[in-house]
Amino acid sequence: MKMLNYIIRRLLLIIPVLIGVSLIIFMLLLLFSPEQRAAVFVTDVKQLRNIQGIIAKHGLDAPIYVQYFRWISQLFQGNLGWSKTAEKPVLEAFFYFLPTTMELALFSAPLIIFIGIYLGSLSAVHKDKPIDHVSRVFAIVGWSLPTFWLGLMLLMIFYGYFSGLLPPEALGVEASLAVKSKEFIRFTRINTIDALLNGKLWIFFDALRHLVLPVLTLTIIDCAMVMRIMRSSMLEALGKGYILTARAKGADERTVIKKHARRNAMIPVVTVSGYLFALLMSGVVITETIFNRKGLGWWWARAAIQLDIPAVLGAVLFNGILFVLTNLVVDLLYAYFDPRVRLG
Amino acid sequence: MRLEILEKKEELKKRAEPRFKELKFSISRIRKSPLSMVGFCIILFFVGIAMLAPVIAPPKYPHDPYKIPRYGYSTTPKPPSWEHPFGTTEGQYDIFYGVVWGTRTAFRIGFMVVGSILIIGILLGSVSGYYGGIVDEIIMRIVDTFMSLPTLILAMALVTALGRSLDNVMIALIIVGWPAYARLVRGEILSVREETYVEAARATGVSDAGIIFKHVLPNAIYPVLIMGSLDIGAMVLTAAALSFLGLGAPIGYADWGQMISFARNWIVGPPGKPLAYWYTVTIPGIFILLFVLGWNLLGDAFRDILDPKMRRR
Amino acid sequence: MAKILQVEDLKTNFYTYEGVVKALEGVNFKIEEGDTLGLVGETGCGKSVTSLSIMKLIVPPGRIESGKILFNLDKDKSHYVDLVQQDEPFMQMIRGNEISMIFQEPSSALNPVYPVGEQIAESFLLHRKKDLYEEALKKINRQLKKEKIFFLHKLNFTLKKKICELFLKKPESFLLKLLTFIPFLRQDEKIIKEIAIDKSITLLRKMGVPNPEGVVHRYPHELSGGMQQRVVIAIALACQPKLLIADEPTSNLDVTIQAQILDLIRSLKKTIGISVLFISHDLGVVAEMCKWVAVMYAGSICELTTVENLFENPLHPYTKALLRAIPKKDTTRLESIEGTVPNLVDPPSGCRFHPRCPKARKKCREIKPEIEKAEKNHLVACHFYTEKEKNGHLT
Repeated sequence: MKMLNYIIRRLLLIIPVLIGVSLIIFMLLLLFSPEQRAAVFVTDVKQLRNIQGIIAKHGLDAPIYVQYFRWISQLFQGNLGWSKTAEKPVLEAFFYFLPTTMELALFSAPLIIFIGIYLGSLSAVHKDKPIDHVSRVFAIVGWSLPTFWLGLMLLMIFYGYFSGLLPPEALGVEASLAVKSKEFIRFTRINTIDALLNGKLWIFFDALRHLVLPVLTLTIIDCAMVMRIMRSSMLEALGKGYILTARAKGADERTVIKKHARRNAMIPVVTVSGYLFALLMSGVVITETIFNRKGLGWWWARAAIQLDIPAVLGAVLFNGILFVLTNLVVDLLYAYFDPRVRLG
Repeated sequence: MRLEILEKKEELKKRAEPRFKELKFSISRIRKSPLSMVGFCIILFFVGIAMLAPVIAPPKYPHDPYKIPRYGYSTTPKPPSWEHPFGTTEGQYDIFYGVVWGTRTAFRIGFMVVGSILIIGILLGSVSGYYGGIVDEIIMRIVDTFMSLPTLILAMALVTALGRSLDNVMIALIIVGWPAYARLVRGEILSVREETYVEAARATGVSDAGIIFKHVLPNAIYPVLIMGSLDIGAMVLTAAALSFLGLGAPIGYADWGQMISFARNWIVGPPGKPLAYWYTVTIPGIFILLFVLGWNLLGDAFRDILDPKMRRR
Repeated sequence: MAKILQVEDLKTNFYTYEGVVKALEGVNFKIEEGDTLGLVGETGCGKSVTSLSIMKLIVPPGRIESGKILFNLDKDKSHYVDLVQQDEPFMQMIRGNEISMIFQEPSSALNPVYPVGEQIAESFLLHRKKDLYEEALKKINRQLKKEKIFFLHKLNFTLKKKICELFLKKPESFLLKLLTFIPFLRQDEKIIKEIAIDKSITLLRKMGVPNPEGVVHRYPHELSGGMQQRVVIAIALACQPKLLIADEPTSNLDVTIQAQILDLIRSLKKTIGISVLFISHDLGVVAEMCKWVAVMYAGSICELTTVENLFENPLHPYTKALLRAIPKKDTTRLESIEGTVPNLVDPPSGCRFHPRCPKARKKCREIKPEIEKAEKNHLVACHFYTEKEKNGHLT
């Protein structure tokens, strides 16, 4: 019962934030001229020929609050406008590009979390010993790396120097032809999963090969952050009284660390996961651009450069909603990990 | 008369002694930690470059020193040589000039953005924390909203709306950056307000303003300073990413991120010499890496030194 | 009566930035089986360091420099082990099993993310695994003998039975370790845990805790301070250790709860016959709970005698000053001891109390007094008495 209350309370708190996000997007929208804004209201490229007509129809020169409600109602109907870079309505384009990005996130997120937690914990337990120093240097250098530079350097070495060992793009030439063919059934439109489901292992490995560098680029930087947080929270946990109790019970050091310290140390890491997600999204924009993987980030980067306003605004909207949902999940996880939260 | 002066001197010395001891301890902590020293040296190095920019890389266009001089129009980058110590990029922009003046750009971005968000954040955070009530609620909802959007993406949207330039990038970063500080300051003020020593100060008759300035702010300021020094690096990274994507500094401007965008087509050289154009990517990138690394190390050092609980480890 | 613990000349140092803190400078005392020894002294005199040293829980930058901690492992005959010489695995067997400890602040002594029942059960799981498995086997066999039994349940129980039997035969079996990596296969862990929690419930009931079945599933923050301390005591006494070290167990509790906890400890002493090292800065509590008392100052014991002797005939100047400082019915001004507790990085030469001692002589500044017998059942570390004992007067 307590958990249910907690969930409901958290859900209610989302609403003001979503309203806030919509306000921000709307204010951004207003920064553009009515002509530019026209594209946000149509779903068919042909309609764009009649910009004046659109302006008149949607009252783009009407008072602001009227426009806001008009726009919100559009939103709820699923009409986010027409993206010229995607050549599709924004909502459709979003679902089109999503699988590629999801593939990247699917492989990166577990690595970031597990390696980060493990290294951070190791670093804390062996404080001031060589492994600690090495890990800390790795973490701080990793945190200082520009994502785009890391990607380019990795490409230079593993694609250039090692002639094509780990290439950019999502799939090699043969594989891309194969997935477009009629025999290849698309279940999820995620290359690796579909390849497995279709039983075509060579495509699976090809996709994997193309994933190594982008995943590495994304992971190193976020992993560094998780590591730092885990290390400091682990150090704090190890100084607490219950660690002494555990040792006084006769528990061996491994149990003390794993069962007692780590469980408590993970709590701050969970709370930071929301921010981690935002970092991941930012990284995705750059990584997909560099490796030419046609996912959400790639689309948004092009949209920003080519002033594809509906797409850019769609990006903000999508990220806002996703972040809010992620935070909800994170809060629930937090309540699971830390029983003290469940009451308040 | 002389006796009184002597007595006063003694008293001052007695009061200053523990502070001196702590200062000496802080300095010894900095010196003992090799990473802090490295960070400090790196920043000094960059400060040196930035200050000596007109000397080591004399501007070709005196009225616009940030415009990187071009030595021709060929698209193929040229490797390092005596005339061009770091080589040239596509379009023959001198890389050495670019990275030297890029240092100034980086400092400008870092200080202006972080300075502004510090001021805005501290102001709004203090107001929010001190007055509470509806003001607090409104400010915090705004903060929540901004913090629910990834920095890069919101900055991208803002730059698209405002127009492409480095100044707009800085404005976008300021708009995106202040909420974190407001929340931090507000949190600190709220927690310090409840501390026993504030109650004690109130009990001995210190005024509200006195409490804020003498007790609350000095304790609340440390995390803000630490976050600020870490953010200088983060802001430079985001600005570089935006410039790299083509949303920031104009082409030919002395900005590290912008220079790397030139290198996009040249990461793989001709067959047989795949690393031929390494300098177009590696050199500006290393400058960014070191700059950000220096500030991160300093920020970490500040954290380790200023946190009273961590000091005596 | 045999001794359960004898500490000889224990020296412990802490290597810090400010210098080497000589926390324990030759501590000497013994505890007879079944007795309670109170250890009193001001904050910072080394009481906690002594208890941590006995359990060998001193971590760097601290280190036990020298000395002996003789502990009697065998109930019937005298089998003394020097704990200082033992390695970590041996100490892990001792901790929580032969020697247990309870702490001052129960809320920070308990892990906030696990229910208290699990934390008590952990003591059983660490030291009584064999018993748990045997009981588990009995329970499973009872279940298997039932007439109507669902097929899947039968499978589950048979699996558990097999693993339990394997464990009892060969605890270090490689097969067992392998099975740990496959999820869901180590069902024995589930049933072992259940049994351990049952034992925890029984233990809490014996301690007089109401509704132990409910308490066992609560988290530490859901319990009151007194209840938390009871849980800490349950954790310590689960495996019926020979020696209990109580490090100021009631200092952070209300007076009424304090009385309840002390009663509890006293009754447990009677039922289990445990020896107790009771650390406190409160002479009143010590007087109530202990048979013997050791007064500690700046890293060494200065007086060791029965409680009656201490109050009727204190010998050491420090003890005398302490007793004088206790406010009595007709006290108008509080008496204090002149001077301050010494800096343990640079302690006073000779007897560490000499700067504050009204009776200090030249010898006190130069030579550190050993703790020696002054009268029957009464040891003192003071030149004034030991010399007197030998020569009849002090030089």
